[in-house]
Parts: sequence; C-alpha cells; structure tokens
Amino acid sequence: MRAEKIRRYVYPPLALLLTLIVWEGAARIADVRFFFPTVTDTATALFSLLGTAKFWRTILLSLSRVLLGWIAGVAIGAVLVFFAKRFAFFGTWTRGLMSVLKSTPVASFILVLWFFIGSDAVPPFIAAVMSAPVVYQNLWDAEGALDPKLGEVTEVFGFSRFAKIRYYYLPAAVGFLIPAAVTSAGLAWKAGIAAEVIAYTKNSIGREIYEAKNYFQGDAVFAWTVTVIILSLILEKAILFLGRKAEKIWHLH
Amino acid sequence: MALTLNHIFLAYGDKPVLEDISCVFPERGCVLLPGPSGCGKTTLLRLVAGLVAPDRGEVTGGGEVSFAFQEYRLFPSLTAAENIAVAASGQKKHLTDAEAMLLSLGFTKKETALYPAALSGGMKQRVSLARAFLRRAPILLLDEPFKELDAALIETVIRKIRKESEERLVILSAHSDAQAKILDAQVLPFFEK
Repeated sequence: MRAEKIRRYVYPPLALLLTLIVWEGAARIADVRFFFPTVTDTATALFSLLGTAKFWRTILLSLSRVLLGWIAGVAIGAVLVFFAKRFAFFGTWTRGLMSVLKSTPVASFILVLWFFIGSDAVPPFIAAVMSAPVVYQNLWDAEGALDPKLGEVTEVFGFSRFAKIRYYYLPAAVGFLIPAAVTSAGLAWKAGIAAEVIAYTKNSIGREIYEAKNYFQGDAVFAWTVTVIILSLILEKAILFLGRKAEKIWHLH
Repeated sequence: MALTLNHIFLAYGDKPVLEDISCVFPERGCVLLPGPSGCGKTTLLRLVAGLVAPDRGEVTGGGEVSFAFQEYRLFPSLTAAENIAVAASGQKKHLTDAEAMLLSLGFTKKETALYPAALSGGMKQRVSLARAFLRRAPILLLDEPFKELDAALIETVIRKIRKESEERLVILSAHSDAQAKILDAQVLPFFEK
C-alpha cells in the first residue's frame, strides 16, 4: 500500500524534477540561450506572458479553433462510420479515404488547405482531418462489442431508430468513443498548432512561436511550447472526465 | 390469418433441428411445446418471431410478436422498469405500466429501479416476462417462462398467461407438459421423445 502511494504521488513529481534538472544542465552546457534556453529563462518568459491579456486571448482563440475542428472531426468520423456500416461501397470508399488521411504528412495537408481556404481556417480543418480517421477506426471496431442477442430484442420489440441508437449502439460504442476522443483531441491539438505555425494564423499560439523563433527569442518559443504541452494535458484530462461523467449519468456500461 | 407452419425443415450445419414440422395455430389460446433442452423448441419460437428462416417450408400468417427470451436479454444501461418501458413505448420515461407490471410479479417499487447487474436470475426472468406481457402483439412467445421462479411466482405467471391467452396466441416452451392442464394449453408433441 505504501509502495503504491509512493509510486503514485512521489514518483511523478520526482520524474518531472529530474527532467527539469537534465534540461537545465544541458542548456547550461550547450550555452546557446537564443535557441536552447534554461529552465529558469523559460519560466521567467512564461510568467511574464501569464500577466498579459494577449497571452490569454491567444490561448482562447487557438483552443477554440482546434476544439471546433475536433468536434467536427469526431462528428464526421461517427457519421461516416454509421453510413459505412450500412452501405458496403461507401464503407470501402471511406475506409480507403481514412487510410489516405492517416498516411498523408500533416504538413502537406496544411500547405494544400492554406492555398484553398486561407490561414484562419486551416487549423480547425487540420484538427478535423486528424480526428475523423481515429474516431472512424475506433467506432468501426466497436461493432464487435455489440451483443447480437440484444440486437434481436430491438428487432422483435420494434425499437425506433432513435431507441436503437440510444440503447443499443451508443452503450457499445461509448467504450471505444472515449479513448478515440482523447487520442484524437491530442492529435488535433498538436496538428492544429503546427497548422498555425505554418499558415501563420492571426492571434494564434502557432504565430507567437513562429515570431519568437524569427526574433531569436528561444525563451519565448519554449514558454509557448510548455503552454501547449500543459494545455494538451488539461484537454486530455477534461475530455476523459467528461466522458466518464457522461457514462455515469447515462449508465452506459 | 392464423399462424401456419408448412413442412418446415431447419438445420444448424449438418444437425437437423426441425424436420417436417407442420401446424396451424389458433388465433387465441395457449400452446405448449414440451421437450428436453436442445430439441428445437427455442428454434421453433425464433422461427415464429422471424429471427431465423427455414431451410425449406414456409411460415404464414401470425404478424407481430412479443418474446420473453430464455436468456433474459436485458439492456445493461437501463433499469428493470426502463427495460420494459423502452420495449413497450420506445421511451424510458413511460414507467407507470412497466412498474405496475413488475409490482404484480413480486418486485418492490425500489427494485424496479435496479439495473440488470444488480438483479438475481429470477428477477431478470420476471423483467423479461413483464416486457413480453406488456407489448400488445397478437402472438406472445415465452421461452421457458418458469425457469428460476419459485412456486408462488410460477402460480402468478400461470395466471397471467391464462389471462393473456384469452386475448391472443401464447406459445410457450417448457421441459415438460406438467403445467399443460393448469394452463389449459394445447400440447404440441413435436419434441417429446
């Protein structure tokens, strides 16, 4: 019990401390602060950013762009798999399409989309493009979790389409949907920020990183990167929390 | 139009289950299919429900069915009463009739709100039966309805089946024809050895 508590509560902060020590040591040895700042430089830059309204506005806008795209991606993945399971040709076509989406380098997508839709719309599009295949694949696999005996109950008792989805498909899918949502949100967030960097999107974290790099402000690049990492962790935990909450409220398991 | 089976043949792989079964069922009343496990009773009920198709022969007449499956088949995300309400009305909030039916089968009000994971085998059986009783279809199929019930509950279920059989066709399977008389049931000896 004690060993378990140590593993759970002492090891993670120790691991973080070790990382920071290694980072600090490496940065001091390298001694190129413009490109590789120390922990102290990064922390100072981050704290000075925290006090500005621009920092919070930028975060909010980047988050809303990516979240918008992610929600669209989850919905598109779910709708596509719904029809793919019903129409064999559509299934073959969309499976191929999803494989292509998963294999295409994200930078190629960003550049192509940038050309067609402009820099502001690229991040949400990229977030959707990253999320949809993950959700599609997970929900495709969820069919194996369906109990055919309950399927027969829905047939015999003439369940409406809504009732079938709500009480038969959804409880089976949710066990696959929550991990898919968490994974795809992480992907969408990272790809969305990359899209902001490449497309130089206005009022975005990506643009701040790009500009800091141009002005040799290594500490600011690292401060923004740390912000992206922290937000990614918060996003992941928040989605997991909401998913589990929904499961509990609707007794989906 | 009366439910009719015409020279039904059905096999699972190489194993024949139903061989040249023919029968005309009455529009109302109780029909009992006695026989040991694995003899084909459930397959015949599934055939009537349209869940399996015969290899040869045809099923005509009948119409919609209500079915109490042998393995209960309850939705784990719904309470006992909700399982019944959803099957009866498509809405899990329409609980009044479902709760009344469960109370008549020995549930307490509190127990009607339990999820299947918290129910015993006998309770699940009663939920499955209540769900079937409440759906107003012209044919009621009951697969081993007395399984896991104590004597007092068997009596209650028999009373309900008799009442149901006054209004619609009830086809039930059982290991023996012991209850045939009390059910006032016609016995179809297809599966008796």
